[in-house]
Amino acid sequence: MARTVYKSATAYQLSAFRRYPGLTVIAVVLALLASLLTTLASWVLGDAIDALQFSADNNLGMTPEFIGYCWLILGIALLLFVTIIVVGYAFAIMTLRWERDARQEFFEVIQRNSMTFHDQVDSKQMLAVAMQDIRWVRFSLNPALRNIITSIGSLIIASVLLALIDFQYGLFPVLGIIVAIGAPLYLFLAYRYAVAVEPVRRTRSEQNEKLTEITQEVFRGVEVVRAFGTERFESEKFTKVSKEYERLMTREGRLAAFYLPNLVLTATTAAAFLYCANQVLTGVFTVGTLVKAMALLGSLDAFSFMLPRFLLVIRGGHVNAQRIVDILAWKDPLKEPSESVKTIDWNGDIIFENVSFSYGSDAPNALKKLNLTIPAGSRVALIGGPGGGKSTILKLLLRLYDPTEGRVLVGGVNLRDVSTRNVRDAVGLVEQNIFLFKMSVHDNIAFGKQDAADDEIFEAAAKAQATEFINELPKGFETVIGERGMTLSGGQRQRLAIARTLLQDPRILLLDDSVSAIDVHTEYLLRKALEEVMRGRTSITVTQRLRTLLEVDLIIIVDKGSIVATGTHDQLIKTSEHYQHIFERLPGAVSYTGTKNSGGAN
Amino acid sequence: MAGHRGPGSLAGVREKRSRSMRVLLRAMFKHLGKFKRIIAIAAVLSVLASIFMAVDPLVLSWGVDLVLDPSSAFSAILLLCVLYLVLKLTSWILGSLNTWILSGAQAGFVQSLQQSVYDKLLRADLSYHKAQKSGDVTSRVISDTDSLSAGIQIIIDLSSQILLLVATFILMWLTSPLVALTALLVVPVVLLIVVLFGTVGQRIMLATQRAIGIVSGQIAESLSGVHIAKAFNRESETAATLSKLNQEAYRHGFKFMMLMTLMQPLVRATGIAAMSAVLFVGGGLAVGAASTLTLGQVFLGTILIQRFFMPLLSLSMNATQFQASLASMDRLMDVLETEPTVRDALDAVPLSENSDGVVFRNVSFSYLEGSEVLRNINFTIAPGETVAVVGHTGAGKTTIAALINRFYDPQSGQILIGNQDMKSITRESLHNTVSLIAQEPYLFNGTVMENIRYGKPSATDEEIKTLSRLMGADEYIEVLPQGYDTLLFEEGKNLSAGQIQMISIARTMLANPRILILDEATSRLDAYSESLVQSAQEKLFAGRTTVVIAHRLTTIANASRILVFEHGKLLEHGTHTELLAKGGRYKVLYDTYYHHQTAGEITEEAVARARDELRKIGSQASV
Repeated sequence: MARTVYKSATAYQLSAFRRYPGLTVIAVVLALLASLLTTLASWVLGDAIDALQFSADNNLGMTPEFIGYCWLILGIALLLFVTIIVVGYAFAIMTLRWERDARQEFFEVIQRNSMTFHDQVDSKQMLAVAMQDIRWVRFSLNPALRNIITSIGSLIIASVLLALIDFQYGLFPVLGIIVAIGAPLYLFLAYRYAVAVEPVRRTRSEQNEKLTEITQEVFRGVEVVRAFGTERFESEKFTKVSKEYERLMTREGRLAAFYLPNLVLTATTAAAFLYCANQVLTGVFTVGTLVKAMALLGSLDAFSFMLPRFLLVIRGGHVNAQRIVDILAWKDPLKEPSESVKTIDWNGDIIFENVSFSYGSDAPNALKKLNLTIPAGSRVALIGGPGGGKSTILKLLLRLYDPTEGRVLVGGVNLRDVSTRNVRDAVGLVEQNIFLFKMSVHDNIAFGKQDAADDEIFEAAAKAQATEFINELPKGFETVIGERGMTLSGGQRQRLAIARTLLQDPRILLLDDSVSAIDVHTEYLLRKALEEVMRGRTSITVTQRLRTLLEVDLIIIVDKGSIVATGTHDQLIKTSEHYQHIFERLPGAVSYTGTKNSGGAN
Repeated sequence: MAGHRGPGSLAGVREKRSRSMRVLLRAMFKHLGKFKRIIAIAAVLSVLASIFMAVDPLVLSWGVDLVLDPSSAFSAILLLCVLYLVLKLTSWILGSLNTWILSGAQAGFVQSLQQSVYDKLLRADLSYHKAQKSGDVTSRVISDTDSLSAGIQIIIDLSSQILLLVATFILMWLTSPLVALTALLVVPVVLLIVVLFGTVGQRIMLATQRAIGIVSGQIAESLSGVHIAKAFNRESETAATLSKLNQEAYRHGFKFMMLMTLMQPLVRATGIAAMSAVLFVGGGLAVGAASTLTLGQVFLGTILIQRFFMPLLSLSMNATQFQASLASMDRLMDVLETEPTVRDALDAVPLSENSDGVVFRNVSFSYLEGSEVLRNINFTIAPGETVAVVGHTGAGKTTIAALINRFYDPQSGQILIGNQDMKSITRESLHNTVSLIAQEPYLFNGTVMENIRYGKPSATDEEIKTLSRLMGADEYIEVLPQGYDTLLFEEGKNLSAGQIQMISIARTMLANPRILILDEATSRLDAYSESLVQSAQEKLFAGRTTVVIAHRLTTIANASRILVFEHGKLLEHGTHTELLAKGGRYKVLYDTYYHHQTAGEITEEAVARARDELRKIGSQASV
C-alpha cells in the first residue's frame, strides 16, 4: 500500500468518506430524509387530529381523510425503516472498510519503519493503537457521526416546521422565535457539556489504563513482590491510583446530573404550548396545530442525551486520530537509496570508516569513530564488555540502522547506497535471543527463504543438526512452537535459527553466540551446526566461546564503542592486557593455559 | 452506542455460573457495605423521578381538551403550563440528584471492591497465580468490579423502569382499555429484537470478537518479531498474512454492524407504526355517536405508547447485561472466598535476629496431588555456608528455592531457619531475611534506579550507585541511553538479557538479606559478566548463608558443599573433589554438563554417553 501522508487528524478521520464521494452524498441525503420522515409523522398526527375534530364537530364517524392519515403515518414508518437501513448499510461499507484498511496501513507503515522506531516504542502500545485507537476513530464516524447528522437534522427540520406553522397562518413568527432561541441554546448547552466532560473522561480513561497497567505488572511479578515482602507497599500504590480513579469517575458521573439542555427543551415546549393553546382558544389555530407543535417537540426528546454522547465520541475520535497521524508521520532517519547499487562484491572486504552511532539523539554514542577492516572470507570473533558496541556492529552490517557518522563499506560500496532489501538478502543474522514465530517448525525454518521447497527445508534442518530433535517433537516438522507449552531449549532454538539462516544462504554471516551452559551432546551438535553455517562465507561472531576464540582468523576487542585490539589469539594473549583479562575469566581458560604450560595442549 | 463496555454488553454473552442467582444477589447486597444506605436513597429518588415523569403527558392531554372547550379561560391554560413545568422540573431535579448521589456511591463502591479483590489476590497462594494468566487476574480487579457496578445501576434502573412501564400502562388502561391493548402490539417486536440479539446476534458477535482477536494476535506477534521479518526481507509476506485476517475480521464485523444497524430502524419505525395504530383505534373511539374518548386522550395515547415501548425494550436489553454482572459477581466470589493456604499462624513471631542457616527435615512436596516433586528431603545448611544444588531439569531444584521463600508449604516435614520452624514465623520477617534471585528475573516498568530500589525502598541514589559499582553492574547500566534514569518497558525489552539480570541481582544485593538464594541467577549472563558478579558476590556476601542453584562448573566448584538431586530425591552430598572421587551421579553429571566447559575437544564417546544419560532422565532441556 502506498504511504499516505495525512495533513491533519480531521483529514484522517474524514478519509473514510473521501474514498466514496458518491456514496457519502447518498448516505447524508438519506440520513436527512430519515430526520424529515421522523418529524413528518408528528406533522401528520396533527392533521389527523384535525380530521377527528372535524368528525366530532359534524357528528361523523372516521372520515376517509382520517384513515388516510393513519395509513400515511404507517407508510412513513415503513419508508423510515428502509431509509435508515440503507443509510446504515452505506455507512457500514464506508467506515468498516476504512477501519480494515486503516489498520492494514498502520501496520505496514510501522513495520517498514527502521529499528530506530521499534526500539523507542512499546509494542503493546502500538498494538493498542492499531486495534483500539483505530476502532475509536471508526466509532467517531459510525455510529457517532451518523447519529449526529440525524439528530441535528431532526432538530433543524423540526424547528423549520414549527416556524412554518405561523407562516401558514400568515402570523408574526412567534413559534419561529421560540425555537430560534431554544434550538441554538439547546445545542450550545449540549456542546458545552461535551466540552466539560471530555477532559474528565480522557483523564479517567488514562487513569483506568494506569490502573490496569499496575495491576498487570504486579501480578506478572507477583513472585518478586512476595520475595521482597512488599505487599503493603503495592497495596498502597494501588489505593492511590484507584482513589484517583474513583474521584474522576465521580466527577464524570456528576457532570451528567443537572443536564441543562433538557430544561431548555422543557421550557421551549411549555412556551410553545402556552402560545399555541392560546391561539387555539382564540380560534386562530386548530387543535391539530397544537398537537403538531407538541409532537414535534416531543420527538426531539429521544435525541436529547444522544447528542452530547456522540459529540464526545467524535471529539475523542479526533484525539485518537491525532495520535495515529503523529505515529504515521514519523520521519525515518534510515532512507532507502533512490537507486540501489546492483553490483556489489559481497565477498569483498568489510570496512568501517570513522563510524559513530547512537541509538537516539539523547543517547550516548554506542560507537565512536570506529575504524575496522574485516578481510574477505575471514572468520572473525567480536568480544568485549557489555554495551561495548559488539551487537551494534552487527546491526549496522544488516543495515537495521545507518551510522550517525562515517561509512560502512562492503566490497568498496557504501551500504547507504544499497537498498535494505539487497543488504538483507546478502547478510544473515543468528541473534542472541532467538525469536521464533508461533508457527510450525517447518514454517519457522522456511522464514529464511521465500517459496522454499520442503526438501530444502529438510536439508537445512539436517545441516543444522536439528532433524533428530524435530522428529522427536509431537508432530515433527508440523509442531507449532509456543502452543500448549510447546517450548524448546536454548540449544534447540539456536539450531532452528541456524537452519533458517542456512536456508537464506547469506554471503556474510552475523552470529550472536552468547550461549549459556548446555550439555555436552547439545554442545557437540551446536559446534557442528556452526561449522556448517560458517563454511564458505565471511562470518562475524560475538562470542564467549573459548574454542571459537582459538580457531578464528581474527579477534576484535571492542570496548566503549572503540576498538581496543585486533589479532589472533596467539598474538593477543601476548600483547593485549585487555584480552588476557577477559580470556582468563572464561570457563575452562585456566585449565587450557594450565595444560598448555605443562606442554600438553588438548 | 455501546459505550466503553463494548458491543458485547448489548448482545450479552451468557456465561455459566457456579452459584444460584439468589446467592449472588445476596452477595452483591452484602458487598455494598457502607454504600447500602446511600444507594437506597438514590433508588428512592429514582423511583420518585419516574412517578413524576409518568404523569407529565397527562397535563398535555388536559391542555388539548381544555382548549377544545370554548368556555376555558387563559388562566386555566397558564395553570396547566405551570403544572407541566413543575412536574418536569421536579423529575429533572430528582433524576439529577439521583445521578449525583449514585455517581459518588458507585465510584466508591467500585474502588472499595477493587481494593479488596486486589489485596486478596496480592496475598493469594502462588499456586493460584501460577494457574492463572495475568490478564485474567487483571480483569478480575478491573472489569469484573466495573461490571458489578453496572449491575447495581441496572437494579436501580430496573425498579424505575418497571414503575414507569406499569404506571404508563395503567394510565393507558384508564384512558381506554382498547388503546392499552393496542399498545401490546409492540410486545412481539420487543421479543423479536431480544431473540434476534440473543441468538444470531450473539453468534455473530462471538465470531467477530474471535476474528478481531486473531488480527490482534497476528499484529502482536509480527511486532515482536519485526527484526526477524526485516533480517529475512519478509515484510510483504507478513503484511499479506495480516491482510487476509483483516479481511476476515471485516466480513464478520460487517455482519455484526448490520445487525446493530437493524435495531435502530426497527425501534424507530415500530414507535411510529404503533403511534399510527393507537391513533386509528383511539380515533375510532373518539368520533361517531358512541364517542368515549376525548381528542386529548387520543393524543395522550400516542404519547404513552412511546413511553411504553422504550422502557420495555431497555428492560429486556438490560437483562443480558445483568446476567453478565451476575457472572462477574460469581468470579469475584471465587476470589474473595478463597483463603490462602500459606499464611501467618495466629501466634506467628518475627524471625529472631540470630536465626540463620536452613534445615530441611523429612520434607515432601507436590504442586499437584499425586506427583511428588520432593521426596523426604533432609539436609542442613550451616550459618554462613555456601551450598550448591545440582541436578537435571525437573529434579526439584527450583522447588527447594521456592520452599525456603515459603512460596508454598510442604505437605509433610519441616523447614527451619536457625531453630525456628518456618510456619511459626511471620512471613514479613522471613522475606526481610531471605532473598531470592529468580531464574527468570522480572523487572517492573519504571527507571533502572526504581527497580534496584525495590530491594530497599529507603536506599539513597548514592547507595545504589556505590553498590552497582562494587558488583560491576554500573558498567551495564551506564551504557543505557539515560543511565540509571532509563525507563524500562515491556519487562525490559530495551535491555539485554545480561543487563536485566544484573539489575535484578543488584536489587537483591541492595536488600542485603541474611540468607541468599540464587536460582541460576547468572545463567543469562555471558561467562565474563558472570565472573564479575561472582567476584562481587564474594566481596559483598562473604560469610553469608547462600544456596546456589548453578550450572557452571566454576560456581559449583567454589561451593563448600554440593547437594545432588534427581527426581525429587537428594542422592549425594559432599565437596566437588569428594563427589568426583566417589564416582556416583555427580560424576555422571559432571561428565555430561561441566567437563566440556573447559576448552577440551569433545569426544564421540562423551557425546554418546551424554545422549544416553539424557534419554534415561527423559529431559530434553539443558540443566
